[in-house]
Amino acid sequence: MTTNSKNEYLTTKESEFVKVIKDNEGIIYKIARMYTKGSDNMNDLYQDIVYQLWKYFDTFKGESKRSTWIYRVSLNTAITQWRKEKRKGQKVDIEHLFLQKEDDYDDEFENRLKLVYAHIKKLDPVEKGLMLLLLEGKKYAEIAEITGFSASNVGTRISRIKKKLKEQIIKDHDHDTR
Amino acid sequence: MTLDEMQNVWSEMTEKLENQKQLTDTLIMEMTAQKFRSKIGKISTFESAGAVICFIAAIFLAVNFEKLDTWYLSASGVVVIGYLIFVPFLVLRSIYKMKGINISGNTYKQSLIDFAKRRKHFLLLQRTAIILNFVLLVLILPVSSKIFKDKDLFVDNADLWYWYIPVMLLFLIPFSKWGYTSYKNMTASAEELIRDLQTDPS
Repeated sequence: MTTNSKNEYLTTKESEFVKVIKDNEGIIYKIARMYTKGSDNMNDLYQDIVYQLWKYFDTFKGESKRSTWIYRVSLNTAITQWRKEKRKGQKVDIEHLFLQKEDDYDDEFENRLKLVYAHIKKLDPVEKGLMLLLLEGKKYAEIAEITGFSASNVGTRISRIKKKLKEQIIKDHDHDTR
Repeated sequence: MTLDEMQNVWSEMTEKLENQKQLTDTLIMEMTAQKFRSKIGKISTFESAGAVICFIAAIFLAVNFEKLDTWYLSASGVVVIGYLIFVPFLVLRSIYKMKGINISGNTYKQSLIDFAKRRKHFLLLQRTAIILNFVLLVLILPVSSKIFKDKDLFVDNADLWYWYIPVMLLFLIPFSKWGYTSYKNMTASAEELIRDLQTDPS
């Protein structure tokens, strides 16, 4: 069955999927950038996440929020890339698609963003995932639902991460001013 | 940079991304059409290529097995063929299992635990393989010498063992020590991660 609402060549399922991805492309970008080094690896992971979301699209049962499911699949895909090898097969060129294309995009913002990512990338995989969700403005209960930790454990772990980041920032600052 | 500043930069990025919406329908559907890659990518190329070489060598040895006409050469042949089949098979199985994590159904915590456990298993296997490599390198020489040159090194050229084993150990020990230590450290960090994650009572 096809629909003409989005694109006459897409099936209903494909149109629905395209909408979900478009609504959440920012989340995928942020996760792909957090778990990789370099734009090539980021593009690979971005595409892998989209592919995994498509692969498991039918398994989403609506028991949780769609965004919760997207965070889960994206984070799980990111942590299970066990080797940063060049991926094979068809590759879609999505380079320079994000952020840099914007007219008012400035280098100063990119530098600040790089610094944020640099701090987060120093965290271990558990902390990285929690920090991402915290920065996304998620409440502890939602972070618990996405990650599988208890809400109280999320709280304890986030306090530890904040402390660690603070120390890391001070250390980096001291190093820069020396 | 403070934590608040980090939060601000993050929010600004979210806003910018929200305003961009760069992906097109075609681009998204092209990304989903990667089944070909995914099927091949299931198992790492490096390990797969190694396994193919081992399997070909095992078949070659099996075909020529009758040339190993003494009990000790036959026994060596059996051990070498066993190694060439089972070690790559176990490594590939381990990699395949590592990639078989339930990405859609698992929580982040469960995936981290599953992945760390499978990784630990894989690393233990690699450590075992390093030790078994010594056995293979000792046995492959008389077996191949008999098959290719019809020469029984245990009888015809016994002196060879006096220099072959020390020279081989000289090259292999530093390499294996480095590999073994690396795998040991990686296994330890996987174990630590599992311990940490399992302390949460939820």
